[in-house]
Amino acid sequence: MMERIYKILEQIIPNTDFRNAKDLVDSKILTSLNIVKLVSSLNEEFDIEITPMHLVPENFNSVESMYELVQELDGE
Amino acid sequence: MPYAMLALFGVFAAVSIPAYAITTAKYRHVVLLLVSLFCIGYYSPYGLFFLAITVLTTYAAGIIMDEITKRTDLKGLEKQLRKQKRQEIKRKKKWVVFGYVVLNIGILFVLKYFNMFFSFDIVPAAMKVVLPLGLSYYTLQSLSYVIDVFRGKYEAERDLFKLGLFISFFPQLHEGPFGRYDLLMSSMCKNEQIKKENVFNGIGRVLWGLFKIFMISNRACMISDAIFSEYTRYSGWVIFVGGIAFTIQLYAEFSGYIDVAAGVSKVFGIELTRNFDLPFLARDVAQFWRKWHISLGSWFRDYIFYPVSTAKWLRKLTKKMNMAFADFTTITISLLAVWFLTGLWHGASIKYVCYGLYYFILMMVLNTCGPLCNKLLVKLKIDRENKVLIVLQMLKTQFFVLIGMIMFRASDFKMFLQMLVNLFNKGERFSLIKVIETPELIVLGLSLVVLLLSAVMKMKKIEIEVMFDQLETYQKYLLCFAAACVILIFGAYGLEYLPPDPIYGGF
Repeated sequence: MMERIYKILEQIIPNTDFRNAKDLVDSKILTSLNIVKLVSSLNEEFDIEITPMHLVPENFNSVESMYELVQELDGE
Repeated sequence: MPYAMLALFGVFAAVSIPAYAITTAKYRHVVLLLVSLFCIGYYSPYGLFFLAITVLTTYAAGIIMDEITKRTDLKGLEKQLRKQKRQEIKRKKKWVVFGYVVLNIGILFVLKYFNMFFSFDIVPAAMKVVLPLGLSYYTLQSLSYVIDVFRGKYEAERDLFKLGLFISFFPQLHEGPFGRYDLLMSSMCKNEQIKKENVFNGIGRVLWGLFKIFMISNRACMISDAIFSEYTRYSGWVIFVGGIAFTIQLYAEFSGYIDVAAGVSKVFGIELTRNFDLPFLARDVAQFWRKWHISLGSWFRDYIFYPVSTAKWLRKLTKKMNMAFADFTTITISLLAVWFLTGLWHGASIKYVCYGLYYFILMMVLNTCGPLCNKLLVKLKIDRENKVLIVLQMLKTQFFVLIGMIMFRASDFKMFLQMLVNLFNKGERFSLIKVIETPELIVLGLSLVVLLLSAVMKMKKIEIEVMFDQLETYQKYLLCFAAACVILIFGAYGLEYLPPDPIYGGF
């Protein structure tokens, strides 16, 4: 699942080191426009429903936190 | 009422500090609530009525939504059934939010926009003059609370007084900033005793705000007013000078009022959210709006942009499109909603709607051309962090911001268009000395140097507030006394000056 998330991120923002990043939102690498693209790709790829409630920096600051969010929504 | 709010802040802060200090910790927030209510009532008695509606409906909406969630037991249910129940809860809560929005945005619409849409006398004369203090600020702030409770970000507040204070806290009613319940409440509920270091820090911040208002904004206003009031006479670079003067005036005034509000709050140990972060160093317009009026921008991002861009109807609409076009459509519709409403929030006139749409177009261009520019930079082997490139990007951004500011300052859209045409015409000679006397210009110049120095220190991550906090008490006294003297002696106020109305105070 992690690799699929990396692949989506690579498509949205190429040439970024996502594997070591821990503050993608706080350091403005992921802007609100990118987050919208990311959300639509994650919804499509994993058949989940990310709502505005989940759009907080903590859920998108690192790939690990995105993975946890996807897992949580997948289990609901 | 140019200085009425500053005077009101001063009087109410002075009254509330001793009252707050002698009250036991448990009831300190009630003191602040009473002072805030008195402040709103003093400004316009009708304001209390509308505020009461907002406070009571916000309180009720939060609790009803909480109860809807709590009364549904999801334990032990199968995944599908659990999902169904959740949808049911969401549907019920949506109706609560819908009712809340209709009532509160309805009040905002009738009081703020009705007069603007209809210049004739449909609205009773009394209602026209009693636009409640901070109406558009507290309406959006309480709406953010209701939506957050709907989203389950936190539980509803059960203490009516605490919620009332969150909505009506007097320092932020005039020009904001918009506070978020979870951040503001944690600071408000500490009910800290008045501390010497907070008093000094607060007074320091208030003086810094007054410095910006009286030393910079009120003088820059002399230049911008002279050019904008005679705009048909001037052309070319003079229009730009007018735009730059207005940009300085607006920034100094708006950030100054925010500093005053933050300073007064700090005395009570309450931290307000940051509203500016060196906006003139932004490299593109999107970044500019993340650094200018931050609390408004983040409000529209969280409560308009995200809900629209992730809405089911939009996903259905874009489902059959290819991914690139679907992204484009999603972002276009979401940004259009954000910028149309941002324009409308500033005022219901074609000018403000066009102001919002102007930024919508800039954002769309940025969103479409940004990736292409990045590819071009890679191809030309130009580092994105190249200093020349950064400066050029900043200048480009400020050029577009300046055009936006001219539109913002123009009395209507027709005037803005005329000024744009005038840019290329030949106009009368303009002399700065004729609109502002030399001593005034010198004080303005020196004050701008001080403002610039503070920006440079911020850029170098030197925390002025921390440095001030670390000074000895007598040094703080001297510094505050000196700052107060400078403002009193050199500030642009009094009978010789025509004081401008606070710009954002009108929103």
